[in-house]
Amino acid sequence: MRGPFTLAACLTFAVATTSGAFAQDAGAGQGRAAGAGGQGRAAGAGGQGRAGGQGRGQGRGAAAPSAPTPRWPDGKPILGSVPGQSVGGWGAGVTTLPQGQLDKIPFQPWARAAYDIRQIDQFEPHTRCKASGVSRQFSTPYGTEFVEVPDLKRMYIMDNGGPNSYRIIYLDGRSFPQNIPLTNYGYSIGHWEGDTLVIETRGLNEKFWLDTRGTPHTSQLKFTERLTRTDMNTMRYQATIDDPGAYTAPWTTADFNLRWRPGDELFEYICQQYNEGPTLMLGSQEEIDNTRFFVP
Amino acid sequence: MKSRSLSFVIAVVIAAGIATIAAQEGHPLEGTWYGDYSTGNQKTDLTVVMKWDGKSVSGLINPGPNSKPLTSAVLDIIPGKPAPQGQQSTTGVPPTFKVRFDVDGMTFEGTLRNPVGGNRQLVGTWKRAAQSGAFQIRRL
Repeated sequence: MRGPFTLAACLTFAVATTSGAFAQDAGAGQGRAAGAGGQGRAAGAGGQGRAGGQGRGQGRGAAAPSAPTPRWPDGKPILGSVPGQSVGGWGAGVTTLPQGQLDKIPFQPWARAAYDIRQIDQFEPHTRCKASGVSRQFSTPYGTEFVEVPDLKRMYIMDNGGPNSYRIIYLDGRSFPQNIPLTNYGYSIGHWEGDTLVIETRGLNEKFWLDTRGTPHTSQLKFTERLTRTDMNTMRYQATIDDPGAYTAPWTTADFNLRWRPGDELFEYICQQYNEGPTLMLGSQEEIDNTRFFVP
Repeated sequence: MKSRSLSFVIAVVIAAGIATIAAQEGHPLEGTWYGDYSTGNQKTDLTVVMKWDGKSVSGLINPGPNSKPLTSAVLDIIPGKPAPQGQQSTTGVPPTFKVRFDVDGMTFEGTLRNPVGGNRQLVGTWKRAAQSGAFQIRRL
């Protein structure tokens, strides 16, 4: 009895953390379940693939007319919730970084082979509760919340789902310290270029994937993100991957769009690390293949 | 009997802990590997440390006063085949990772098992002049 139960629990968990975002296309609208007050479709229609029954989903529903980009008194765009208005968050929007240009990505041979294997064995570290930094923060179906603290000159990007953690973006003009300890979220410094927040992250370890499809990296990675809130409901996202350990040249992703979900708040999400499932997580997201031994 | 069971449980927990803590998703050879190579019925411990700098793999065996540097280390990839359109991803054929490294007059050649998994193993054969045998090392 225990085996099937563990498998079922495992699959449910993996699906909850990856589905929807896995299949979602760039620019697709995000939707919440009916009654949640969000944009997009009602429950049962907006969810993609295996998200059904989770209460939230991704959708392609027509976006409501959007207000202009909100701004701070100094004119800089507000990337998170607007003070005095209800809290909100950003839905998942980044799916596979090589989208639309896979054959042009300057993979090193080992990195392309690793990517190919991950198309076969699709359960990524995030499904096993591993914190997954930079672009992967914007792939969980439960979305992210940006918390800006102008007085402290920093911003927090909090991701719900998975390990339920956060990344700090320093906006005080500091430089990167030497010998940054390698971590899942790395060390992020941001600066403004017009209305675009440019975030550079270094010090990333190799314990996570950059996206749900397994784009590989090494600890030599310098990851640059460009975030532009083009209106109240839309955040344009683009990333440049500079990693001589895995690629022969830097490359830049297509544009992705995150969609604003008014009323969306962080909620308690418990990721069951150290369950027995990890050793079974191989195969496609339609089934778990336990015929091969695997440790994540 | 009880103490044997307890020892087994402890060993399993430690092994799982090491594998989980050390799991990484970067270059397949990067890291510390431990196992043995055999000559007939005799097995000799083997520790290999490999590092990827973005262009080549370097490393050594048996870190400590008796360490020996790898004189070459090569990863050769045989492409796989993706799953046909509309079929389960697991029907695809994964790429094969072949590895060869030379150290202290010995040549090791093997194939990676679970090459992007935390418990990857390198299994194959070694030779030095007229001597030869099998080896297996597991990435810690």
